[in-house]
Amino acid sequence: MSVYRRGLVSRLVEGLRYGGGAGQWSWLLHRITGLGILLYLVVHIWDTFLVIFSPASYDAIMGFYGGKIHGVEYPLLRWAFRLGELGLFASVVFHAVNGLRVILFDLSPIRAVGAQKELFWAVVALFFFIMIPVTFIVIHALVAEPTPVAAAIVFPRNFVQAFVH
Amino acid sequence: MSMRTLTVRIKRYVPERDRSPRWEEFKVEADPHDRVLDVIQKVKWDQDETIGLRRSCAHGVCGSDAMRINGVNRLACKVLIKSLPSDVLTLEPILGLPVIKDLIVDMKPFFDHYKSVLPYLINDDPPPTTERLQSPEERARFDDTTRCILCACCTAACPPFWGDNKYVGPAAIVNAHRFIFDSRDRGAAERLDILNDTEGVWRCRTVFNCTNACPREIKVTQAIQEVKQALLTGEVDTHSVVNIHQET
Repeated sequence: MSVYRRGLVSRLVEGLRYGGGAGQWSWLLHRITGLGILLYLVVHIWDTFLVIFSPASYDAIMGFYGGKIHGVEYPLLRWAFRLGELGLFASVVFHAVNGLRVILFDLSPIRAVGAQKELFWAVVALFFFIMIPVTFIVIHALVAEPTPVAAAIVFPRNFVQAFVH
Repeated sequence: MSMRTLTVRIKRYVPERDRSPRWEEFKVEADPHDRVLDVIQKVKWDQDETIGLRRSCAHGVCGSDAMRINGVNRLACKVLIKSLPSDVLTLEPILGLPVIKDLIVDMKPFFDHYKSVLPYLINDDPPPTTERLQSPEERARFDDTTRCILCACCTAACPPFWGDNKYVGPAAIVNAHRFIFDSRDRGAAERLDILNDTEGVWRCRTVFNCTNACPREIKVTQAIQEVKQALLTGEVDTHSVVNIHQET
């Protein structure tokens, strides 16, 4: 009997086509944000490690994150990294808030599980409550030429760097 | 209500002919009070007799005709045509199990998982002179999970199961719950040990697709979470009434 078994790609496509509710999308977002945060941590630990082994490369990388390659400013690059940071912040906020929702399911199998849809909307509300002002701060600092103070709020790494040197 | 002309799209897979599934389309006149199962039967009887599907009781009890109807797992015999939002009806086999033909999947992996949790009464105590008595409260404790018909709508809706078919899946856990929380049963420790495996309850990521898919409206995720809590606390409470029907 030759049965049809789905491969990995087919399972992924068919899974995304499945009409799951809020639970499926919050689960998927939780996974994606988790992987995003992991990717960031790998890069972050690697660049911080350079501080001791190759301070010159560390400075070059910090410049790159700030939109500079060999001292030349690339505004698009700066925008990409700042928006990336905003995405990272959003990922951490969603992952943390939704993580609390998942913990509630374990602590209270009946009441929290019964209220899963309401809890999902609570996660969405809390996410936007945090993200709207943060987005405003980041975008505002990007659009206006960043003053040192604004830079310190938005780019704490630059602030730390100022003390290091 | 007047008749509706439906465009029925069926994901076909005929092993002698197809290397992978493909769509086929049929036009059917359907009464709004017909069920999806009636529509498939009409196609099979009048247009293409080679369409493969499972059906038995046709009244939502046997659990044979689970399939993806417009993208979600449902029993074809329980979905009315009048409940369809559009005149396009898509029918596909459930996910996560090998497709034998068209809408028929191989249920063996599903039943193997079911059997693995010892879904029967275990009690080696000497039989009493009367029945093994149980209070109404003790009976109510696991009432919700007695209603499972093993249709696989839940397990085949579970993303962790799609990714890892060694996971026992929601249906097996529901049937373990039915005996773990039965005051007459003595096999709870053994079943909890089986479900404490990496492929046991901890694969559940509370996606809730199972609960939404269950044609018997069993609170599947709740049952899984109760089993997880029993594992965490080491206590099985077979007495407290969980008033499932007042919850919603």
